[in-house]
Amino acid sequence: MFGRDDVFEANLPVTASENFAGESVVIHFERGTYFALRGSAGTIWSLLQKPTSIAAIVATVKAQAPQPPTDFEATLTTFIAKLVDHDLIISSLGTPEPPAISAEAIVNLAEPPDLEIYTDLVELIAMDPVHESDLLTGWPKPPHPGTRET
Amino acid sequence: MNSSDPSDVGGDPQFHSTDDFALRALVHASQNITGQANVAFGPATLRIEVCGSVLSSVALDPLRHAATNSTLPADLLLVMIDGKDTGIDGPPLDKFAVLHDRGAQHGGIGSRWTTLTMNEEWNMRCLIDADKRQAIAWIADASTAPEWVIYDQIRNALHWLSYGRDFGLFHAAALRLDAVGCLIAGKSGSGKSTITAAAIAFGFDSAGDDFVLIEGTTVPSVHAIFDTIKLDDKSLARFPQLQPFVRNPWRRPKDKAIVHLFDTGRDRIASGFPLHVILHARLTAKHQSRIVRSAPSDAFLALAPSSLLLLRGQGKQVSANCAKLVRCLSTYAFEIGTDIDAAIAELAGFMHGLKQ
Repeated sequence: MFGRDDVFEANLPVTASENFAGESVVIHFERGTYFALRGSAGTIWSLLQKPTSIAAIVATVKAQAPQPPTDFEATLTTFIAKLVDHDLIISSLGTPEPPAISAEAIVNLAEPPDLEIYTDLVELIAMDPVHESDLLTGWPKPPHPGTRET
Repeated sequence: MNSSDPSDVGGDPQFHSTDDFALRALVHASQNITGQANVAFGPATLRIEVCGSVLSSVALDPLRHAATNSTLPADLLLVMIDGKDTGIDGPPLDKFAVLHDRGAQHGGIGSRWTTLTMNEEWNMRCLIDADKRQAIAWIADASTAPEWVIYDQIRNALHWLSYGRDFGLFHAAALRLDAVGCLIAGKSGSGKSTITAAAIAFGFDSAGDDFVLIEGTTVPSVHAIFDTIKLDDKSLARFPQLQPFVRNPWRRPKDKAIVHLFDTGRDRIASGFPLHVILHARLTAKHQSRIVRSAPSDAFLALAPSSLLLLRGQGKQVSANCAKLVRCLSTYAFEIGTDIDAAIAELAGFMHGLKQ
């Protein structure tokens, strides 16, 4: 569980995302899952690229929108929970920043966020693990049962 | 480095570290090559040296169209070793963490990453050191592994070579008709191979049915990597003219038949042609096919996840490459009906329309 003041940010080390005219596609390359973010989901995802909280987002929206979307906080909380479930966002130790939201994005937030989930490629990850090394960890370590390294 | 005499490749098949394995493998390859080729895929060149007779055929035959006589140094040396044929054992995974000399392996900040990929089912490992421009692919027994396991290593080496370069690999088929080029994206089973085979029979040229290399210039151009077409039994039955060229008649039931286009006619393999559109393929139960304008995000969904997850590693770069491509080409949905001949006629008509 999490609260409205908990700080989150996009799980950038294991995801890649692209935005096309308001629609975002996010790929989790450790899990092999990928997502189409439609409605206001792409806008919310863009707000989470830096550490922020539900409280900070809601405050910014209320300050900027003449008529904030009905039940915006509840909708946002439900959507954030989905992103957490799919490991797309993680808890952050950063200071929550009031997100910068454009006028266009404020309008977009009136739409419900839709997270389309694709799991058809998950098996690609399971059958052919890749083990990359970097300056800190050196060559790959042997895989441990139940875990996978990148 | 903790090896003894590196030229002593036969006496101690159990290697003490990854570095030890790499050194001995390279020495062995220099003395026992059974097959070799210099190949060029547009901007990328490989020198491939193979140790093992079965492995030589499987690895090099799909690349004959790309052979080059250039004497310039290749971008990457790929050494491929059949463990059973050569007696060289692979690096023991449980010793990587213990024995790796981190300081010696990496030149310092800015060094490009090294990687080890493994196919555990077929006991294949590929060690790539982009800094040293070397890759070593080792397989326990090439005679029992499906061809795609071996192709994957070549693809993987090219993928790592693309890091920081102006090209990338993409999970898609590529076709040309009358100077108009199209990329057909879609996950496995979306009809890319069947469409490619049918399109070739119709008169299209192909740069591949599965993975292609694309140079990211203003007008992207596509280069063939492999000359293969992979068809399941049902699709193969549609093309009896390809039957005599099947390379793996004794394949496992779940494996696809492999045909080398080079065997059927060198002129069917096109390379270096410009791309104009991306079609994302989807099989439908309808009889007729249709091609309709679609959102770039739909094309990206068809192209990026499978490219990224099949290539493995450098995920953000693959994603960015796919996005760049989608943004500079027109995107369409290709809804492929059950009548494949009609689907090809639809595609040909569409491409004629683009030309005008």
